[in-house]
Amino acid sequence: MPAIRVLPVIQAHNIHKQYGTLSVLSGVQFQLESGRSLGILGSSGCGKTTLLQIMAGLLPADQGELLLDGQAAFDLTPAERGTVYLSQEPLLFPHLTAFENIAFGLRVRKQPSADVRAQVQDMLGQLGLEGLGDRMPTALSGGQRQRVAFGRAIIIRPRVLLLDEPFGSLDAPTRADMQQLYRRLCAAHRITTVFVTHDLREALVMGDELARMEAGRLTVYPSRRAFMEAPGSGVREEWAFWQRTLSGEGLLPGTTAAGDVFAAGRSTDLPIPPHSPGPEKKVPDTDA
Amino acid sequence: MRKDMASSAVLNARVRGPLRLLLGQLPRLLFRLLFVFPLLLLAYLSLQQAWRFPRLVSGEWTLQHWAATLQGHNSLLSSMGLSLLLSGSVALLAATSGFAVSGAVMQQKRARRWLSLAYFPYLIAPVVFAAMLQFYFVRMGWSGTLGGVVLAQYLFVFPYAVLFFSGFWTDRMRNLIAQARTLGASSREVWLRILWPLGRPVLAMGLFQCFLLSWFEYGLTRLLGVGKVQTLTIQTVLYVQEANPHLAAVASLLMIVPAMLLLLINRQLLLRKTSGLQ
Amino acid sequence: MSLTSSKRFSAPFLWVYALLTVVPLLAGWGYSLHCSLRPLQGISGQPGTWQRLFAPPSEGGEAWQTLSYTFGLSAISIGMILLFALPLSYAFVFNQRNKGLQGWLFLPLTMPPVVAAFAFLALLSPSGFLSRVAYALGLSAGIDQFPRLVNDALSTGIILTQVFLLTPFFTLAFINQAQQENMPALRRAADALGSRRAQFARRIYAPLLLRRSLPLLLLYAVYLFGTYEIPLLLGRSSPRVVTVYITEQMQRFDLSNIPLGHAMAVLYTALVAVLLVFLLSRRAGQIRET
Repeated sequence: MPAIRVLPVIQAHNIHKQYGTLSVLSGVQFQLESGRSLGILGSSGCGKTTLLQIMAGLLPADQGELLLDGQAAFDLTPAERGTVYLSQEPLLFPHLTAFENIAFGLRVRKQPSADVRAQVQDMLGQLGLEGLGDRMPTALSGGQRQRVAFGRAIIIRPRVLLLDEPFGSLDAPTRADMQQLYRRLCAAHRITTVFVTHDLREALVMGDELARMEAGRLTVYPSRRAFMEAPGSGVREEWAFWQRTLSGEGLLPGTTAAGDVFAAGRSTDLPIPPHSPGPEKKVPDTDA
Repeated sequence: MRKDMASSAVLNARVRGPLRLLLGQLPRLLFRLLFVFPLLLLAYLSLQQAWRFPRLVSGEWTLQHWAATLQGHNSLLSSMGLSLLLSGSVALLAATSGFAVSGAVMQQKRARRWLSLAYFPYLIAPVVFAAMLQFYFVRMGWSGTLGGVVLAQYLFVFPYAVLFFSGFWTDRMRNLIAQARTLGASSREVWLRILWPLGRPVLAMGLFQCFLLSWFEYGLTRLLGVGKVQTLTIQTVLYVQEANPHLAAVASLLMIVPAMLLLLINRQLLLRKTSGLQ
Repeated sequence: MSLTSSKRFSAPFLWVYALLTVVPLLAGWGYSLHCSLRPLQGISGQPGTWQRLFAPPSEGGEAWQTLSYTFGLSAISIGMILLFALPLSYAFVFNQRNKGLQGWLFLPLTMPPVVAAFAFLALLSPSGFLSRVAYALGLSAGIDQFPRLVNDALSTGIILTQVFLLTPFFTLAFINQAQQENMPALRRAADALGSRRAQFARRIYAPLLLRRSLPLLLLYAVYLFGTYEIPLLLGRSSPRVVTVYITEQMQRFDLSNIPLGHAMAVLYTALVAVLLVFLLSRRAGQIRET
């Protein structure tokens, strides 16, 4: 018996975008099934933000087609698409409390007040923000603001969530927390997501499927293994780095930095700058 | 010993205190006087029966100029009403349309270039603008009418409003609007739930500035009002030219009162704006 | 907002905007230009309006005199405003004890130019307050002995009134700018480098603020170039500022003077426009640089 093929939620065909003579997206093509997340790895300026904004309806594409649940999306307004775009900055509405920020999407959909209250309370609980509903955005920490932004997006059950470096401005522990929360919430609500990041580990932790964007061209890998083995993904370099570190070699080729730090009897949180003058030190090569 | 020193220091301070205090405060006192003196002079003139040279203070205090004004024996009160109506209408029209238009302008790719257009009508002296437009206003029958003066003032207050509100439509504001739209808000809801609550203080401030711009205007109103639209500024100049300093002073103070009241209410906004920058 | 929908929404607004900002100005300018070029009716063999305007002063041409007088007046006013506003702002930025005085700066902002002109008339005129003080102190023997400070050749009254009205505005603007530039931190840095306070004021504070405020200063110079009410009440009948010249020519009974007013209006508007284009393109250049 043939397997039932699920219609992908997102089908992007040959999307092009140009600013003047500069080609930002050329022939972007991918599809994503319901409840899956696609992580796009790319450095700044590679066109990943443009792609997300085109999908959200915040920018027009020059050419190509975007189908959301089989429906042509380029003719729809952002509100009609059911996509929510979240950027690195949480962009909370500054005049609304955390509660009202989360409630925003439900209120504009004219849901009954009691429903809104119940749903938002529940969401605040899921976000770990119990008791903070009355706070104004300025009275929340960076991580808390990002949670509110998340809750605000997820509560309206968007068809697709588009995340643009969502954790870029957070410190490392908060970032790890948020990645956990994100995975949990997306799985619980079966939300299809596309997110872009320049952080290799974030892409690996959060993406069910992985892609790389370079100079406006998107490469989607058939499997995680293919991604990891691809020359440009950065996985090999990362791997080599840890191998060098563990084997006591220098952190940069040709140095023995780790050994130096301990040998000099200094604490590890005072790393010697690679170019500091020392009798046995060579000036290290910078091309790792 | 130490106690002695301490008490002599206290004594010293007590003796030299008032003089030092006076010297230290003198520049501050002068500063205050400088800004308040013209106002005091106006108030004094408005309360004097006559002010004959060379008497510095005549001593003949009177409320007659104020009484005559408030009882309607001269046209100052009606002029003030007319000015309030005129400036209120111009401010309301210019601020609301300027807010919306600046939003549209700032969305353009070459927003700065578009915005440049507003500088020209705003910076050309209104009286020269009026002199150049007089022909059209006479032709259309607008000259000497309140509507005509409202329109003429609107032509230079509106560009100002556009420039003023352009500061509101920052990238951040555009991103907030985009966020609201992707969360499902319609244009109407974006206005109602985001732009109105966030823009209200800025709108109030712009309204106030537009009001003052119109309230202070003299040359254009005289030229296009041809003596039929007697605003308070026009009355003031008439009294000055008639060498009636007492009624000119009353008119001047009437001109300052609403501006000062508005400024007192709005200074909070001004301060909040500067504290946000720190 | 999607571009397609925002285009749909903003297009009518843009049309209205362009219509309101460009059309009246161009129409007015065009009409004035037309008036200044049209030969006078029924008078043949007369020199044209522009020749009359730019004739040597001995033959009654007033263009150069009017323009240079107006230019000089705005330049001197701006210079004096800076002379007061820079030190004042310094005193506010670096002395917390002065903070309470800042509110007083707002007082002149409530005064229309007409009112300020009248107040200074009452203060400076031969029978005004200062003249009476001089008389009481025995410094002047009467109205005729007091030096002329209004309607005078040096335009003292005009300049003082403009300085009074605009100095507070510039002081507040400088205070704001100084806070944005974090001047207290810059002064600490200068102190640490061994600079004296006066050196800091001269080498850092003033040049930095002037540089940052240059566009604002030039815009206000343009504004002062078109000032009307104060010179109208406190100025002499000759030389006159551009705006007063224009309105007086247009309201003369001698109809042959009206084109002179239009020609000056054309000239003034063109000058302001050229200056503005220069200023705005410069600013655009600066924005591109950053």
